[in-house]
Amino acid sequence: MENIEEKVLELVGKQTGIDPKQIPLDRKFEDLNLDSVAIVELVFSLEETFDISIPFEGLDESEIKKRFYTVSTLIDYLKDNVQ
Amino acid sequence: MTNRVVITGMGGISSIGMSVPEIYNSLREGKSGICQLEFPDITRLKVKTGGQIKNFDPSKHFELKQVGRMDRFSQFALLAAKEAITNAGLKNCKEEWQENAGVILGSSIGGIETINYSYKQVFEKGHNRLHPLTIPKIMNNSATSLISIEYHIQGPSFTVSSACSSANHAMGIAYETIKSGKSKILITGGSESFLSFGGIKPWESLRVLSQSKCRPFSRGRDGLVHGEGAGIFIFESLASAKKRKANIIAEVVGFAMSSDASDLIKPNNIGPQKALEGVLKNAMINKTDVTYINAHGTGTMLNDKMESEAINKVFGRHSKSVKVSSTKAMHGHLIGATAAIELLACTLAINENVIPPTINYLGIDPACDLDVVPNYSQELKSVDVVLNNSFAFGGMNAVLALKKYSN
Repeated sequence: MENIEEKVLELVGKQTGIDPKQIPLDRKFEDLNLDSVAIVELVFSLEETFDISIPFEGLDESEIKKRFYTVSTLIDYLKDNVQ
Repeated sequence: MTNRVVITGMGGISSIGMSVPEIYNSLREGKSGICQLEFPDITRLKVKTGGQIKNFDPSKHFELKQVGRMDRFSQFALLAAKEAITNAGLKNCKEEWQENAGVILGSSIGGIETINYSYKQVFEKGHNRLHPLTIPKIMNNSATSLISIEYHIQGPSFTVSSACSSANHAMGIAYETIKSGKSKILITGGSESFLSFGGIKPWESLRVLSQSKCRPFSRGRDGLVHGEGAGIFIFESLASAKKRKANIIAEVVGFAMSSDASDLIKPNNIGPQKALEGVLKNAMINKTDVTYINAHGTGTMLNDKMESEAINKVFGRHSKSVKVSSTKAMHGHLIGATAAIELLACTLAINENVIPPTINYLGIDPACDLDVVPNYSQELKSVDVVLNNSFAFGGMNAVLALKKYSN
């Protein structure tokens, strides 16, 4: 499970350009400066890495930002859904 | 001095008809061409519906040796061009019209059927030799070149590629080329064919495809549905059309382009607003003159909301009386050719005073508070000015204006 956290921070870091070690788990997605392209790529990389399907249609990145809210919420979601 | 530009011929092929009369009939009746897609590996796709042209046998339209030399998108373009050239009375025209005439088409994807086939040969089957015409079949200007060769057209000819706005950009440039006197006759429009596993899979990844039906501007809409086909028009200077006593279908009176300059995949309303304001200015028409807008109306949450905002901002109070429909729910989104099929909806409106409907409409979404001509076509007393909207991925916008021809 620690591996999920590490991997998520790495993928979020790649899209934001922030060093993964500098991303606090309670950081809101809203404050991470992720545009629609970055969100689509992040969702794709999460699906590829964890072999899951994240429901997200319509390119409205605010939907993902609201649903996961913080990096920690996303990690919890993955812990619950990754086999 | 500038020339007036008129449309003197039309041709079309799509899931809602194999000729302009058939397409007109479907547009009038609100008849959908969306069906179950049929091609190899369809089971690996989430979305299995689209506006596919079924039972298309190229050998019925072309000599056998020609068939293997053309991608499907070029075959569609040649068939629609034949109809348009015949419709314009140019087929038996004794004048030497071809020397300064040109072909300007839109295609975003080009010969993807050929790309898919070639990849399968070299990667999957391990072959090390491909058909010598692989590149000429794939290239986006293939359809343009084949029309030029078939009809010996020697003037300005090229292909425009700007995703979902390709055909509108092509037709707009054709309009401006004739207006400025650089050519008298141009064959213009767009062609696209990509309904295959390799053509649809990348769109699935983009997360914009409908899991149910395409319902532009409607509550409950959830994305776009694809289609294929071609729409080809003869744009001609008024002087040339009059000289050869051609039937005039409509006048092209304005064109404007803009770029969102903001996001590769997410649209904003500033770019479309600029293009709509630009076309009114270019055509020297008032917003109250516009009777009908054939919307880009993809059926995605974002496009339809953004397009409604742009129309509301530009047209103000008049936005409640202008008719706005998206015919994509019937023929699907033809990407680089979509504006060409949609220009047929515009000429139908101008010639028969019939506004084609937005089908699959379930009810109003407050974010899209326009008169979208829900589910059934409407007959008006008169349709004078119509606009054809295209707002592409990448933020490339193009709007064309047509007017009922009067001397």
